[in-house]
Amino acid sequence: MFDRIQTHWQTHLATATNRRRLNLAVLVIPATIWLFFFFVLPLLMVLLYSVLERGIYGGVNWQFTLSNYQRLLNPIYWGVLGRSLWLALFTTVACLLIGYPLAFFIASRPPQWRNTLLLLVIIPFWTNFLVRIYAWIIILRREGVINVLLSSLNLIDQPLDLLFNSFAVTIGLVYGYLPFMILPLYATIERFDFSLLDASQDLGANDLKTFVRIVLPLTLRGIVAGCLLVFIPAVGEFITPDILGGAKTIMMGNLVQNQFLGARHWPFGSVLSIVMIVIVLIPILIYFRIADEKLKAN
Amino acid sequence: MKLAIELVDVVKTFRGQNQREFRAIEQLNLQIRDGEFFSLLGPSGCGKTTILRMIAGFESPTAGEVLIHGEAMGDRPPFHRPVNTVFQNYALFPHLTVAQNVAFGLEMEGIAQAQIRSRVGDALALVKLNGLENRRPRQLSGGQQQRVALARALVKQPEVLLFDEPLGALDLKLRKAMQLELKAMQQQVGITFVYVTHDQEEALTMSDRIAVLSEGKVLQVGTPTAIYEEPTCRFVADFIGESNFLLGQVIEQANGGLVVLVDGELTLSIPYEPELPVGKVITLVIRPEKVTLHPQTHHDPLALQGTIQDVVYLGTDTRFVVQLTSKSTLIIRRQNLHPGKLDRFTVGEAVKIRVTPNSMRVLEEGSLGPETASGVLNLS
Ligand SMILES: Nc1ncnc2c1ncn2[C@@H]1O[C@H](COP(=O)(O)OP(=O)(O)OP(=O)(O)O)[C@@H](O)[C@H]1O
Ligand SMILES: [Mg+2]
Repeated sequence: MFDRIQTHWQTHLATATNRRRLNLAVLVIPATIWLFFFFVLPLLMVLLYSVLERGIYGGVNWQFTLSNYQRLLNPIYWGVLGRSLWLALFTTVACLLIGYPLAFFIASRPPQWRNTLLLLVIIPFWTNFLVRIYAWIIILRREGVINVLLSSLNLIDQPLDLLFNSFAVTIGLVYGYLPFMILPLYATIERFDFSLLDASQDLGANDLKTFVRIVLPLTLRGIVAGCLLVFIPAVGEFITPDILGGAKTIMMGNLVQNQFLGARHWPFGSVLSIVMIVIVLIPILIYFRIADEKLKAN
Repeated sequence: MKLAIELVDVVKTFRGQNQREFRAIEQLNLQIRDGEFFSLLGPSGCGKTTILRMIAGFESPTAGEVLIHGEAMGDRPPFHRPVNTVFQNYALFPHLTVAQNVAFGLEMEGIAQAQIRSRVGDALALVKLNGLENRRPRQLSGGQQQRVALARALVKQPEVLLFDEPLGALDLKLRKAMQLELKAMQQQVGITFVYVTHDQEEALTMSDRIAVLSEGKVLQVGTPTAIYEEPTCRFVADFIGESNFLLGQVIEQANGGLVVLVDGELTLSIPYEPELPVGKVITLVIRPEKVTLHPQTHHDPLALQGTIQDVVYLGTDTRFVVQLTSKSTLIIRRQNLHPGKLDRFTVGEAVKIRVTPNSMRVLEEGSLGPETASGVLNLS
């Protein structure tokens, strides 16, 4: 991919006039500077910190060591890592299962309705994320809305423990990230040509076959985009598990936060950050791989 | 006579945004014969697509019944009906290749891969698309896409093939070529074609029979010749080709003929058998090409008098507008048979007009404006 860009650049520069070259520089330089200071530099710092020794009051000592990486071998961290992946994966699947029919529903309404429905999806963003997560405490706690309702209907004798466990965290994550699934899905489904449904049925495909053979492949882009947009931030979440998970449901994000702010162990915090970056990179690389193959196939 | 499709008292109402009911199809009865090329012809919004969608199963009739080969369809879904559709926008699957598009319908039937391959090959050969099997729809021209849509429907070997304005997006030349090709293909494969179009010329060229529709009603069903030569109402005469309409009042009926007074000033004798009361207002339909123009010096006792109002040269023929009475003009077309020789008639010239009596068609409809009506009544 890089040499493709490079040859492109060479031909471009060879034919461009000076003036055009100047324009291009004006456009490219700020972005390059921005990327350098806010992306490349911090990343390098994280890499560097991960091989240094811990300073007593935070910060680092300039002593190289690989011991921070050795610490990763401790099964405790594997457990947290596993839980993070599992919760993020579960959240992604749940968001997809809820978001897909919803996006499909919105996209198949008459045009004048669609914007109103989309607005309803977006409205929660107008409230602070923390406030919205705290609201779930009111709903889920032992004296909360759900328990009061269920016991007043005599469906339960004792209040259910709905809060401070994986269940609560999952609900919070699904709730928080659902819009990130719905919006890209809507964008693809809205462009879907609904007359293809007629054509498919006309050719003998029932609803299920039509969905699998026509709708799914043609909305795959939205599905992948939505899943990435949900999975990536969900893996690194620390606010939702902090508030709804209590002390029991720690995720990777909590660990990182804890190492930097609580334990003041910046090098190990950096190691954990790198692990998360790698985890997040894997699905993205797979995505690019698929997209590239598709491009070649066409 | 075996029927491919029968619509019995079919009604279709849609509920609009304001919840008001809208009758798209009213009490429709149609019988489409096995193996014929049947066209549904009518202006935009008359309900052609709605009829087609009810046959295919995408809409269900509000009342009435759709029968395919004598079998009532009821609420049977599209994928269980022995018909296939070629859609107006083709509706090709963009993520599949040409071959995959055509194979789709066969795969749904669970046919073996080897057989699918050979049938897809045959279908693509029939529509002359060999060599494009691995292209995607967006890499094809409009005409090629239209052929893929056709192959995709044909390969299923349906008993009836439905077409919704399949040539609408093509340019004129290609459209004409495809019209002939489609007609030839229909005769070759021998299946029933139900063809929706708003292009009267297209319907006349291709069809065995045509149903002319207006506002959800069938006005006339017949062969192209019958529709053109013997329209049963003013709408059909007006919609199919060009027509002159003269309003007249019956003043006498004798010996199988009518004497009609046109605009209170011109009497015409027309052969007509059915009984009509004296004083009845009728409409005369005269096709522009069935009238001949002659110079004033021409001797013909039956010729009418007129004055040329307008002359327009149209290439194959010349179109004249001739003032016939104080209220009515007549459009007349003359073929330009002789090369390089322009027509002698000029605007303002007095001419003689010959209308053969049996080329005038009588429609028992029409009404006169208030002042004409009273004026004519005094005469009778
Ligand atoms: N789903 C629907 N809801 C409401 N009204 C509809 C619906 N489908 C069609 N109509 C109305 O029914 C009438 C007939 O529509 P139809 O599409 O059958 O016309 P058409 O003859 O195919 O026209 P065209 O030549 O423009 O395609 C139109 O007035 C249309 O507005
Ligand atoms: Mg239509």
